[in-house]
Amino acid sequence: MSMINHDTDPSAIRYGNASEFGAKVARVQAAGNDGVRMPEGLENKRPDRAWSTRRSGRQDNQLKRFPFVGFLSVAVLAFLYVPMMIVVFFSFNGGKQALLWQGFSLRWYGSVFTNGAIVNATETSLIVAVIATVLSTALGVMYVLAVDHMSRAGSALASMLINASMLIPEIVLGVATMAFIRLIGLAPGFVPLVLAHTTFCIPFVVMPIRARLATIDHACFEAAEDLGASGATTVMRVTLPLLVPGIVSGALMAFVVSMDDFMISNFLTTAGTTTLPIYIFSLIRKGVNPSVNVVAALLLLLAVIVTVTSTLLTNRKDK
Amino acid sequence: MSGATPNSKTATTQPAGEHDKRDEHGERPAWTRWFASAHPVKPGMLNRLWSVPSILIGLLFTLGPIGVIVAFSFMSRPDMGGGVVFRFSTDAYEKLLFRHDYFGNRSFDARYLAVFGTSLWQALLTTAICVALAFPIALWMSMKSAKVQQILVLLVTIPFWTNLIVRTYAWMLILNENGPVNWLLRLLGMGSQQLLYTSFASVIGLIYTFLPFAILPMYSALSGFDFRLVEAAYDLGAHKPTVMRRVILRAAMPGVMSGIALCFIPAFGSYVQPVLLGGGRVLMVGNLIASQFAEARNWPFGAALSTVILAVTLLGALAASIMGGMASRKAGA
Amino acid sequence: MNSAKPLVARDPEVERRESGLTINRARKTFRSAEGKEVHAIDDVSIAIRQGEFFILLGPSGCGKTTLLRSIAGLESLDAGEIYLGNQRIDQLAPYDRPVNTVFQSYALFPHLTVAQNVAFGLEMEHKPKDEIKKTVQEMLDLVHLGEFGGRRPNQLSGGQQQRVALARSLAKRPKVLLLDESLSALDFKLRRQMQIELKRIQRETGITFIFVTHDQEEALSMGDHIAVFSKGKPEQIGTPEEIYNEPANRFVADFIGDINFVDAVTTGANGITVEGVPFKVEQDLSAWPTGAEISAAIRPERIELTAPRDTALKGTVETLMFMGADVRCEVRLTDGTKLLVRLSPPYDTAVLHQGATVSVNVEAAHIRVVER
Repeated sequence: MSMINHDTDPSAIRYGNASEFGAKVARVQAAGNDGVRMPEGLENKRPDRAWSTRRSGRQDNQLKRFPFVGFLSVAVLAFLYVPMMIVVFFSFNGGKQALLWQGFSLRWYGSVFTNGAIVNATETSLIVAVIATVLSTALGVMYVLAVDHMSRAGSALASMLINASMLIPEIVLGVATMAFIRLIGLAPGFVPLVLAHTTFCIPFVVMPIRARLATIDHACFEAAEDLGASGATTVMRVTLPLLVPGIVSGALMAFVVSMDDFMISNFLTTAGTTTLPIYIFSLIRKGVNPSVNVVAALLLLLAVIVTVTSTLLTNRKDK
Repeated sequence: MSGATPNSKTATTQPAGEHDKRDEHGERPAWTRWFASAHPVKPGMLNRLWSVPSILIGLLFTLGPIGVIVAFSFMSRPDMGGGVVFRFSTDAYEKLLFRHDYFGNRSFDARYLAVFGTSLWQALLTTAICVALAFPIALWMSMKSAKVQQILVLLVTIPFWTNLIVRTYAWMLILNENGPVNWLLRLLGMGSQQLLYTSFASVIGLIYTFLPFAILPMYSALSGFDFRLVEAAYDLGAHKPTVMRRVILRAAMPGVMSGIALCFIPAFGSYVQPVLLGGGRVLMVGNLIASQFAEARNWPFGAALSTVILAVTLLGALAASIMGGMASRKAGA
Repeated sequence: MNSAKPLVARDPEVERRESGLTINRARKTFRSAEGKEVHAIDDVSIAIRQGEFFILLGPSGCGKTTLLRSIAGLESLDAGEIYLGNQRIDQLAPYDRPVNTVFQSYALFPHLTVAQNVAFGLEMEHKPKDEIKKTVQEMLDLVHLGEFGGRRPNQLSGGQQQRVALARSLAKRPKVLLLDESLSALDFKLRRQMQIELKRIQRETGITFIFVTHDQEEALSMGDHIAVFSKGKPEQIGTPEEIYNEPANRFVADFIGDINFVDAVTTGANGITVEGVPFKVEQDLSAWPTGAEISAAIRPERIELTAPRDTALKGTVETLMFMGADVRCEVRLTDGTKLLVRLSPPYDTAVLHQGATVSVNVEAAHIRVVER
């Protein structure tokens, strides 16, 4: 690693007089590859390296210690996690009340899994989320691949349309969707719910796919066509396989976003399409509830699984 | 998809379309050059038309509803029940600012402006605290080693994806009369306090919800920052506060702008936290609008409120993106 | 008052019949970011013989890569045709052309193994499985990577990736192989090895290679014919010797190797004067009027330095550097022009030492007249 590059000019190496050098070259070319040997100094020459790309200095650099920043940061991170930890803690409460600790027990977990209303609401949420995920992922992939080569104006317009649902406050979008449904004659129910979910899931699918596409060398696609793959074959055999980590990441995010949604679903539900967040909301409006502790802990687990999986996928750089 | 000839090496050339016809000099017709980029699909990509389904559904379920709600705000309310009557009227907007008494006299009504004010105040407070807390965290995170940074980002992102109701519920649990905080207060001899169902609780909930929204964009802006600039500044004799102000803050500004926008806009229209933690007794924009479409059954008024909120947040988003753009340029992005 | 026209290819009609690659009056224009029209390919006609190693040489932005991509089908021409033998190919999609490309970034498919990469083109042709397997192994053996079939591209070094890319393109037995600055990412030693490898493979397979580079040394050592490009047009097309010894104009003379430009004036069809001293010139100067101000382009190794004579061109030796295989010398003429001279040792130190006055002489065959 310590090959400091001398300023060696290859032509300054002594080969004796000119004609001997010419003869040597001729012998080498006749012998083939194995005859080529570089002089010592160049044998191990590495390509010149750029200056170190480390951005920050040593970790213990005193200059970077701003007072209290570390302490504050850890405190705030704790602030983010302690409430949820408390909820998880109380989900294992053996007592009848949500907050009065009466020993460790899984009774409430058992109770939740047999609670008809909760199970129904979860089922509804899952069905809606799965369908919305599938639809939004498909639409999102199609969108990203179609928009990649649009003109700047065209793609700006398109991305505004796609991301519109992220710019509008949820309460407004919720009531507006309800009004819109009413106007076009659809009764609130399963279909508009799924469609609305699909719509606000699309931006979350598009983002990681776009990010992933940017890391792929586009010359691969040209190479595929050069080697005889038609447009469709290139998409199927090269583009999509290479995008898989982004697609999976996007699908996971869409799933979570759909499962989490409250505001918009709230205005689109009927008796038969209560989703989990809506049901929980109605429960806790009346106060704390031990079943909700359990549901909360499980939803936290979902968030952890999705985030960790997504991070692992996007950080795998070998593809 | 791109109208290709079959995969055959001896295919004779077939013009794929009008744009492929050449004149006697071998030139394509001039007009095709306008669409030249339109026709051949980039290798590995799809034809533009494939974006139509998603654009369509985006139009239908975002612009459509928005259009409808704006339209509804100019309509009249039926005598009974919900819905609207298709008759133009600006009653809804008038109601925002004025009230009519029994005799038909019109006077200025500040109640709804007060509601806006309350929401605005809570949102500003939330945003200020979130941004103030997020900045040191983002700074601290960006100075760690790459591996640790990945873990920290993971830790900040998990709350981001946890259900909003669940996160709000956590504070209901904590601030409850029988919850840990009051337990601690009783232990310290201060007796139970009414912490839940107050504006205080609502703001705490909002801060808790939106803190990751502030941390992530700031971290993103700072993680691209070359800390050798800081070393260079010290080398030139600057003191820590100066360095902080002139070098680091300037680089983080685009992230700060994003954080402000991402916190303020949803906080302004929030519904869950004021209702669950604030008790729903204080009227805020979120539950005001919701009630118009539920018990109050005044759809046009709810629509008018929504339109105003929409206008305010869109203006805010526009301002934030402009200032973010300016900040990016100043930061040398 | 222009210089001699660039040497044009043989009659395109003739070339076409002989099944080489012919480019006829190709044109492609881009609109730059400021809205200006950029002629990336400006009315280019080139005939490339079947089975030769043809080089497109030029500085960056001169259009050589655009032309290569047009041959591959990755860019479309605004005007003109491209023929492969008798078959017109410029309107075919890239996947229909019997032409394959080795990309500068290698563009190996990261999600496939080396063997699967090489097999890709053959799978597109729907060849039977065992035939594909056999061909893949043959190709890998050809590039000396026979044992690497199971590896992934990210496990290979730069040089190995390049050879896989080569094998992948050759597997389809294209009529023409295009290489886009394929060696520029390799370090010095590997580059030299790969140059020899490429020449060997080209000779063994007999495929027409079209190679784009900006490195003139690489071009001179590898090419059968070279087209020197500037601003979308070929300034000269010829063999390495022709390009080096008989550059068509100032650009080519300057771009290839070291050269000295000396202000001179024409004196008829075969002579010039430099600072009043007459020199005979073998090149036909009838294109220039007598008394025209031109530049004499002279290669450093063709300059003879002798003891000063009154009638010869005089100069002062400013520096003298012993470089081992030769001696590098800088001589300043009376009008201020600095000449770079290369001599083979031994030399007479009495004549050549720092500060000595010398006479500068060049043989008629080695003076090349170009525009100023």
